[in-house]
Amino acid sequence: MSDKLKIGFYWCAACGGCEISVLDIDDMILDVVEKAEIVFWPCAMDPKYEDVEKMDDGEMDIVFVNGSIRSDENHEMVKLLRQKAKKVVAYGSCSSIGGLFGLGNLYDNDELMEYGYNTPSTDKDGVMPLDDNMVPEGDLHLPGLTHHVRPLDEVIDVDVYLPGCPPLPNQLEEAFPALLSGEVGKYDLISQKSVCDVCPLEREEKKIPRLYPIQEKKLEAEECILDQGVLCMGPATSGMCDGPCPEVGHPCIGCNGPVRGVKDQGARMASALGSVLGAEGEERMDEDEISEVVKSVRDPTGSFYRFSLPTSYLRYKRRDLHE
Amino acid sequence: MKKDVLIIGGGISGVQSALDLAEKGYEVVLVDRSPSIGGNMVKLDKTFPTNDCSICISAPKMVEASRNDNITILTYSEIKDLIGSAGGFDVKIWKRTKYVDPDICTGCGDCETACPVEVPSEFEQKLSDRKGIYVEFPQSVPLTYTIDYDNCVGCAACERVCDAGAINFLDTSQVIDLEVGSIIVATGYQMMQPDEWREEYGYGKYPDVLNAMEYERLLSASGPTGGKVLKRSDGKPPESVAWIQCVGSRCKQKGMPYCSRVCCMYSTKQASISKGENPDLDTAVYYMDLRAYGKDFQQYYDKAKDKGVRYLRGRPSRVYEQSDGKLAIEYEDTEKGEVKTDVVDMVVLSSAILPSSGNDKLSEILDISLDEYGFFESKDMLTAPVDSTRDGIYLAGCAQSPKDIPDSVSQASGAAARALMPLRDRKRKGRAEKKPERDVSKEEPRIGVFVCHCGKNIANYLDVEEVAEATKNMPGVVHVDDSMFACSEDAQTVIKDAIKEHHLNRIVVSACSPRTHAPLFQDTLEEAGLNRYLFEMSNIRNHCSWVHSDDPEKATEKAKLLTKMAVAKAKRLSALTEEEIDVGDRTLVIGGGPAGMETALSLSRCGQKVTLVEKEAELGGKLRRLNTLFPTDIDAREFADSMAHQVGDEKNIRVILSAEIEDIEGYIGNYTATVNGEEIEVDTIVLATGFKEIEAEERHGYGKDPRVMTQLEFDEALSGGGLGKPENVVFINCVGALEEERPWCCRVGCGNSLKNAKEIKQRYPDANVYILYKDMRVFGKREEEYYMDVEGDDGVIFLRYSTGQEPEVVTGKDKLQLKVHDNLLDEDLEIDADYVVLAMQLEGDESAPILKKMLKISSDPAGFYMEAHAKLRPLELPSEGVYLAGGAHYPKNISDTLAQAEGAASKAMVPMMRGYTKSEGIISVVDDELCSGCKMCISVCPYGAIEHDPEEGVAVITDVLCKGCGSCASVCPIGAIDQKGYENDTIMAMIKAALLEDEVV
Amino acid sequence: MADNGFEPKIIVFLCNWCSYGGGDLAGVNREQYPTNVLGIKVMCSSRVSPEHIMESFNDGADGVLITGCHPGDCHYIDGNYKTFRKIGLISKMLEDLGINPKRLRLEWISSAEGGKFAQVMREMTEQIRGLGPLDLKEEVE
Ligand code: SF4
Ligand code: SF4
Ligand code: SF4
Ligand code: FES
Repeated sequence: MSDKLKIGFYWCAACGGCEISVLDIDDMILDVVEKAEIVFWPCAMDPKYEDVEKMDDGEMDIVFVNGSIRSDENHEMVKLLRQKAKKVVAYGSCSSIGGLFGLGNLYDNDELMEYGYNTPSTDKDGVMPLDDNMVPEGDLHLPGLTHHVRPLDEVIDVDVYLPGCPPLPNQLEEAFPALLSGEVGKYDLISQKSVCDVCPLEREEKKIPRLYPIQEKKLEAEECILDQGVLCMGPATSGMCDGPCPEVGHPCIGCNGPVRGVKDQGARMASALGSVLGAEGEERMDEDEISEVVKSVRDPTGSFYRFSLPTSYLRYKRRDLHE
Repeated sequence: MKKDVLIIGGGISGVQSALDLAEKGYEVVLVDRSPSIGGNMVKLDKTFPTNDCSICISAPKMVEASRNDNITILTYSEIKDLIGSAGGFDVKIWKRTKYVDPDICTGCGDCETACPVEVPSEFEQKLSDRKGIYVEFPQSVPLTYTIDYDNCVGCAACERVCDAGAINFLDTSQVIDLEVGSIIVATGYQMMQPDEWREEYGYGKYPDVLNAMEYERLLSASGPTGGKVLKRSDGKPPESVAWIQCVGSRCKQKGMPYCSRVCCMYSTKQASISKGENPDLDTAVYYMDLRAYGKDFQQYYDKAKDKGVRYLRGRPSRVYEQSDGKLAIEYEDTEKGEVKTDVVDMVVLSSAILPSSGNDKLSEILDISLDEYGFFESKDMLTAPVDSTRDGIYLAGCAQSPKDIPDSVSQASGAAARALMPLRDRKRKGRAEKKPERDVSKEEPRIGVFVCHCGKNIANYLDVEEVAEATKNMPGVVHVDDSMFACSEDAQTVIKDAIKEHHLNRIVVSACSPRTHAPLFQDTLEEAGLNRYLFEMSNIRNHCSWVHSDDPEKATEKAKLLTKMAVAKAKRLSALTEEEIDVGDRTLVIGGGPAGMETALSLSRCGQKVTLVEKEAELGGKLRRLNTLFPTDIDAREFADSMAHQVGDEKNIRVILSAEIEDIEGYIGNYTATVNGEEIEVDTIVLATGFKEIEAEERHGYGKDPRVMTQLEFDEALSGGGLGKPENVVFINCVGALEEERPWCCRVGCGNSLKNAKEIKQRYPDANVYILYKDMRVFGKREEEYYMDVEGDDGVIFLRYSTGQEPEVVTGKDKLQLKVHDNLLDEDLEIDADYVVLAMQLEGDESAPILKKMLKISSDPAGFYMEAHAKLRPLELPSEGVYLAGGAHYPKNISDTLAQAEGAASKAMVPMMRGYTKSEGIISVVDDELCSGCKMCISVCPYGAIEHDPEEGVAVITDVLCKGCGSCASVCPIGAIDQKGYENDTIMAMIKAALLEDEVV
Repeated sequence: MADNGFEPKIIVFLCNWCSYGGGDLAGVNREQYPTNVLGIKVMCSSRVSPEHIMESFNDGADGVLITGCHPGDCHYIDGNYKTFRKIGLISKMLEDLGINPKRLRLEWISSAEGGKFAQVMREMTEQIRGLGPLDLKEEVE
């Protein structure tokens, strides 16, 4: 056996983008393979649960886990992987900060199931998936949904975070060598600066009378999107992506989550936007007029927490309004 | 006692003058005959047109005055005698005893509870009672008790309950000898009691006829009814309230001929607040002219109308009580020409502003003149409004004539500038030595906690010992003590000793309010060698024992938590410094009109160096275009010449004409202005850029016929002399004003039309003059009288028109044909005019948009700069170092302009004479390692303290400009800004301490 | 009046210039209100960040009250307008997350309004008492 590092990849509730992103590093994959041996990768190989169980504790040097924790299976599997790995990397935003699926936390599971299986958009109204199914091969048990979507570190300890939806080649080019050589701290791969820091667009001091839906605004290519009155999450989003979205005129949607050291991306954005929006001439507005300005922020919760709701303060929908 | 300046009257004007002088290093004695300073402003509920809470904005000023080492406050005192002359006055002051030692009294109020005597409270306009031992109002300065000798029964109940032992019945009044160089008279006003002159309105006879000050107290949340307007007759809320304007004003026979200048707006304020609180209330204001002349006044008035306040034009002839107890108002609606009777539940009389009652005596003692009404006479009403008739004595605020608050404080600052003249050569107090401080940054927190009993005020309602005991185990706390009065002199020694003995480096006092008491303890820390910011207070009295007095157990628990939260905060405190930056003596005055010239002159005469820049080729500004100056017949150009001449004589003033300002950079003490290619370094900047007429476009035939002119063009024509022999001249007021697009009032147009009307009548006695107006807004000293004089001339015809019924002018004929609907006579009139003169709406100078950007300041929609505070800081901009004079703030007549210009000079001299300015200790800082340059924070700062550094791509806060609000710390989307003293971690720690039981604070 | 025996915990942010003074005056006038409210002084209401509110809820507060100067009265010119808009956004976010937005309240209290201060404290306590406990710390599996 060589003295190569043993690494593994695993996906939880994920879209698959993170898996593909590993391949985005082009030639660098050769460097990786030179230093490491991939011993576990369900997407590309066909390992079984028992194979992992059989491993010694800490046998794998690094396991990259992407996807959020959404099912009992995810839960169980990452606990096992934790046991078998020296180091666990939360790969991508879903495992680092909850990710897009985290928006599911705006609803409880009943509501989600109802929407998924019992609305006009679904094929057969009212047919719900069963936990247990008798099929010719035997009794098939589907893993249940967890109470809410969780980031990886709510279930197991995480050694390094690498958010991104998915992490981009430029991030990986920095991350892989560092990870493989072992010199990387828990939060080192999260930028402490925001997307604005790397955004090439020309920005002004913020004087934004109100926000507009993007489809209602013809955007100037060179100017800061937020300055033009369209929500851009760049200011509150960690900028290790180098800002490819605003560069091509698309607002940042916040996929990297908050910068290093900030817990709650949505709360920060609410604070920033609430402060500057419609500030000019505010002394001449009455409370109704100001409320109109605030309402021009459509769906603040969904927009500000698009990727990070599960790591926010409030994390998931409560039942305070139900009583 | 030897001091620099004596200020008589501790109202807002007197306090402002005192602060202006004291901040420059002059020693001031502020005398007031009441037990507290504050004057009339503190009695008001809110102030127009911003609805600021009056006491909330004036109390901090009063406290500031009481804390200033250079100000000695003598309350309950009066001037007895004066000899000497400017530069060397000897004054005798009679200081009455309050029988309470102010150094010992803690203001706890135990005595008040014990006192059996009840008398009507003067402060509350006798609407409620006070005790024989009392403070006038909760925010009194000094906050110590006074025994009302006249009503005291001598039972000594108060003496027995006073734990502090502050009461001394044997104390006596004394005469204080004072030497000063100059004197400012700021005796304010009193409100007319409308019973003698206007008995037909039933004041004093019917309980529900009130004067405006009484109504003000009813509105006040801290007033006798807790802010509820209730009828005196039956204690029920009224369903309708009527305000009657000009009660005792604008009427020679039944009061005073002058306009009281504030009533239209305060009744608008009272009506709209009442209406806002109860939309079903019927509110009506009976007026003659609604004088909404000031900045934002007209908009305020419009808003009141929108809210449903009714305005009825007419002077009621009488008010009487009907058999059902309601009040009937008889009046002639002059808009409809009908005599009517309205019935209401309550009548408020907007009674006249009268000279203060002591003015007669004081004028004799000081040997200065009063005008025929009893206000102090200016040396020259127009050109020297703040000088009294005697050298070395100056006038501030309503002592000279009725004024609103911003005009009063502007003039008060102006008086402060004038009062410097006799003192120019005196030595001023320099910078205070900094006390050496122990560096505690490397020490672990060693917190000392002192829990106060406040006599019985805390100890009676919660268990002080238990609070102290519970605090002992908190991590970081190494010493806990409790004391009877933590603020007493002895207690300070105890604290200082404890700091030494236990090597304490953070102090927590659990007692009363930091708003009143923190500075005292902070001084103690300094004396013990600790930085004053290593201090935290928890308020277990005002916010605990006093408000939970029925539940000692829970109150004790809460006091423990409050103390724990303070400890959590204290642990995280670090030493803060108030940075000082040097400010030299160089000012840039922008604008060479009367405001700019006067500012420059005042500065120069006090030894400051001035660069005065004017965009035209000669000094004078609007004075060059005006013919005469309302309300006098002074020739404007002669006046301009004399001012320009004086400017030329000053060695300290450099004038740059035909100047273009290309750039201004920097901040107070460090400005660089580029003027005509030359870089000029200055320490402060005064904006005196004036105003301009809006484009007349094609209004009323303007541009089609040269005989239709704007007011300024007509003034020019008048001084040119070539008017021919006009038979009919028409003035149209409010052109482009008081309408939706430009709702504001230009403030000077009415007066200008009047003086030109008079000029025409003097030159061409046979000519007819028509003045087409909306409301005749003349309000200043001698203006109403001038108006009455012009109105008395049969050849001057006044016609009232309304917005939407603008007069039409047909041009191209032999004469201009003018059609107007007179809404008083309700008929259409046609006039063949030789000239039609348009009193154009005014707006800010065209330089405003450019200067605004350079100086990072803002202007209102009219283009006038936004002052730091509409009421109390009209001469300053939010960013320190930039000041406002004259029309750049808002159009005003010459007298107001000059007073304000002196005031702006005074303001600019504060940091310049002091030689430095200080930043706040509590400021915000940007971590430039983190800042991503998103520019979110920049526009958020109300003081323009944050700038983007394009090189580093980060935000930078200029320490001296930051006032420490913490907005930016909250706005930064990545948490790159934190506020010292209120760090994010500190606030979080306090939250945790409050909520998590076993959280180790 | 909800009398369910529940004693809510309420965090109150007080701006130094107005509302804290209002609290002082409530004391001077001996206005009574329940002990459930715990005040934290900030220089201006605009200093309060959404995180402070959410941390409070997370740590067991059942209600959060932000107080500041009346519009136009802010000692720092316009801080309270920022507060107003921020609270508007946060209320919406709370509601989306199933938390009753009535648990968060914004009130303008001047330093002359001791009576109003006490009144608001009483009302807030009653209101939150009526809403019952908000236990965000609950651990779910
Ligand atoms: S477009 Fe977005 S990322 Fe770029 S500067 Fe503006 S806010 Fe920041
Ligand atoms: S808001 Fe924060 S990140 Fe943005 S410019 Fe200001 S300090 Fe920098
Ligand atoms: S704390 Fe306030 S005053 Fe200071 S820089 Fe920030 S926003 Fe400006
Ligand atoms: S200082 Fe009170 S809200 Fe800003």
